Amino acid sequence: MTMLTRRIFIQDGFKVVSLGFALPHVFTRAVQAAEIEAGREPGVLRVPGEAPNDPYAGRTLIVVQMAGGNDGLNTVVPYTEGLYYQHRKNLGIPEDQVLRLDDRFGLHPSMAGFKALWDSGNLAIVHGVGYPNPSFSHFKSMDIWQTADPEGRASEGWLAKLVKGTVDKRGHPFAGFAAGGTLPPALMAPDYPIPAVDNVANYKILPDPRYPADGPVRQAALVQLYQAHAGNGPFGQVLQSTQQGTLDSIERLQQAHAAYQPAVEYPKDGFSAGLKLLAETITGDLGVKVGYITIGGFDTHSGQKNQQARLLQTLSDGLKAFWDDLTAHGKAGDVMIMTWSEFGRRVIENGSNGTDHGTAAPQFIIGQHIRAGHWGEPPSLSDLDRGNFKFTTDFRSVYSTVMDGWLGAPAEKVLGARFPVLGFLGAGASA
Amino acid sequence: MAGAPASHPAGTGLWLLRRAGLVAGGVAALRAAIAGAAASRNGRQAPLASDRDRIAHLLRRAGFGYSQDDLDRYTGMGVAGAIDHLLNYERVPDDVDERLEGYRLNLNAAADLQRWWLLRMIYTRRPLLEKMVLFWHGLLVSGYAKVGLPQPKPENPNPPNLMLNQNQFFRAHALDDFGAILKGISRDPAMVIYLDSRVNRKGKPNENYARELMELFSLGVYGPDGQPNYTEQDVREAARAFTGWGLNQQQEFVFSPGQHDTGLKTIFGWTGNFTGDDVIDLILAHPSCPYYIARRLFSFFAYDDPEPEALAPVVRAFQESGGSIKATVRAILTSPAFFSERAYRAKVKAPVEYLAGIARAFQLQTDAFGLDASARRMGQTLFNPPNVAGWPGGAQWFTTTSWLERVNLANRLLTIRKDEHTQPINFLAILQRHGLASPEKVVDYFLGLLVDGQVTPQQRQTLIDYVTQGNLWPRSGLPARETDPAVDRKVRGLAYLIVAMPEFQLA
Repeated sequence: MTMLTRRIFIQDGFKVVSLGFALPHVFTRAVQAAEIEAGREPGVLRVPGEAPNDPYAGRTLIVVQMAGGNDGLNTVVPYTEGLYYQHRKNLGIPEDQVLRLDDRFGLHPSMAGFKALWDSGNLAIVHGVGYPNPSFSHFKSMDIWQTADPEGRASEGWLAKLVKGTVDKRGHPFAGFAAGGTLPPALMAPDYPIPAVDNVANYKILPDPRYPADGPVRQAALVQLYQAHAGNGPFGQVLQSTQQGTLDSIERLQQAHAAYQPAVEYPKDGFSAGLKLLAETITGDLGVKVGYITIGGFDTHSGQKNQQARLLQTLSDGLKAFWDDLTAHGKAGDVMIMTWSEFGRRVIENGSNGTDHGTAAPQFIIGQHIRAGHWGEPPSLSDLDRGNFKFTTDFRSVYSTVMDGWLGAPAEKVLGARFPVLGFLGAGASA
Repeated sequence: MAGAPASHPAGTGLWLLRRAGLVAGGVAALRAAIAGAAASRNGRQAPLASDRDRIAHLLRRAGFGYSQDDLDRYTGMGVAGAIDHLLNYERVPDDVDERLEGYRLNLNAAADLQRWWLLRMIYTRRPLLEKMVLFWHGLLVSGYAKVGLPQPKPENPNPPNLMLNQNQFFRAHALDDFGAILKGISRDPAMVIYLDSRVNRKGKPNENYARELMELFSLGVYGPDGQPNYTEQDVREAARAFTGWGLNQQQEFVFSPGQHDTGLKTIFGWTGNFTGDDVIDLILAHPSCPYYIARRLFSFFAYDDPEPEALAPVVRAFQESGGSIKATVRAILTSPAFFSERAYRAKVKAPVEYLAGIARAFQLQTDAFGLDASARRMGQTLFNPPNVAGWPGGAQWFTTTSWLERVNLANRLLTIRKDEHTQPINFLAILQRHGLASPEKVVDYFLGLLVDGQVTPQQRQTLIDYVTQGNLWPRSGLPARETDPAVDRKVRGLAYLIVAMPEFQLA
């Protein structure tokens, strides 16, 4: 039955499917196929490369989460403003150390990689990004960003909503991909298994070492056990879909892994190891629409100077290597990168060489088809709300711009409302 | 013990027969039919209907699983007796420390520290104690990524092991009063580092501890009525109250009066020159505190999102006992909700529960070498949760990678024939002990042991087909040697399949 389902996908060439609920994953595929043939309501995203002349075909969005709340003020530094140095008596980055972007802003000194991207016209900065009634809780604020719902009512991640229902030519659910063994809530939907991978070498089902030939029989039995699971209870569906998603993704990932040769030397750290995995999926044409990676440790209540410098260097060097690798593989034009963090830090530093939880912060956009430069209004350093920035750009505007302009997906459907589109995607991108 | 009434196994069998329209053809035939129905179960018997099934459920939730021997022993106590036995663990002699001494672990190293705890989960005779330590580790979080592990130097050969000490604090106070636990953890050196209390000084407050204390450790952001439990101002004021709490050179807790802000603070509408302990007392008096802790414990032991009426007696137990965790946990374990159908398989086993559950089920003899890494790859690094909120748990334990790691761990443990760290499981001895002389018998035995026999008929048939495939089962019934492929290949494969299946992933 699974094979039949896949054949239907290939033959009819439909690009868009929608998922049913509460059915085991293997059965939802059949339902999808039937719905496609019946011409029912489509999902939101197209499958890459299946339609001729699709301007959005083959495009990938890479989302980089900076977990813990990055201090945006010391990342994109308003080095000409006296108020900045008043608020940041110990942590302020001296004017002669910033990597100067223009006569107003400079990057943190450890971000040489981003400076190079800026100089080549591949970096945009969106200023003052936040949302109304900011939460100072890491977890509430992450939820808000990950579900794109400040009321916290959504039960699925915004990126899961975006890619859910898409399958590649062979029916493999590779539209989303998370580097690292943990699936971020932004990519979570109970019925849509998105692979989360930290090590391709371990990404396979091991047989009994003494009876490797028994492997297929045993694995077939395992699949049957999951399909015949009663499926009731709160976790029946996620178990079935995880098992199915795993088996579906193993083979193609192993192939992509074997074929991939990095064109540059990546830094030797976990973040770059994850970026390499993302590069494998992109150069291997697995059809990934949304790739996700997390770098954590930005919760700098104390000892911020060294900690943030180290993290921003890891971020910047890693993404620069990733970008160069994609460029060398001829893929940079198909990829856009967006960073985010759950909040910035308090404008006024605390007494322990750190900063407490704050509000708005800049987001970075990296790409070939973007309009480099500054977007959004930098928040005022004098008009603060209890020591915090007043946000100027709603993060859902950034999401909207990326969905509409880069992926050709109806943002309103994912966000449930319309948000102003920003200008960082030039004419070359929005076809 | 308040629970569902115990049903008579034969009664269930008769009911099945009547329903199937069978007419008794003599007492012997009836007995055989009943025995067959009871043995295969096929998921038709309601879950948690027998004492044996309730004990198994209890040992999965209030412990780390069970072996056949554990089941027999605890079932002999009755459900109420088993709960008493688990709760009054100080009366139970435990030899786990002696066992651990034999392994010569270097507790200054993360891997050995994790093995130390994993071995406790696998071998302790006080499973609820270790389960509570895991609960506290996931609620009152610290992690070695920030706290650090001891690095002995010539001038300081024995630096304190702060993460280990915190773990032992949880062990010493596992069922203590919540107030004592909260005041203790606020002074715990690992916590003082992890949430920056040591740099929280007069005139230069650091909000890290004050915020997480309220948000994650005691109240939650919102109360049961949906209203915020505290304001941003409360957090800032509470941070001032904790100024002066820090560590000395030896990394012991000290209070430095000179660093303490003695000024007036207003917290939850109360004004005074509060200290950190006063903040904790205000938290303990906050109406949301009993609700929050009862809910966290209920979700940990029973199921997520409890109905208000299921939670109410637990909240009351907390309130009426002055915040006794022992009374609160007892209220959960003895509540009808705990043994209700809704509670059955309503929890996902955390990676360490899955791992220890396999080890216990097969009475695995291991020094846990490499199991620390397995737990980490499945998504649970002991002594270093992902962040201050602990492990999110539930469906988030399942990703494609963590699922693979689970089934590959099962494969590794169940296919060991020779290993210097883990003894092979003697499956032949299990077959002989229980007289498992046919594929059906062996399938039903392991389904019964591992998943209460609660599977669908198709699943049972899949397993029988797997064991039968290849015609390896001997005509004589019982295989004679361990190397007989019927045992070495098929029974191992069967055990693997059952612990890999969805039912065993759930607790």
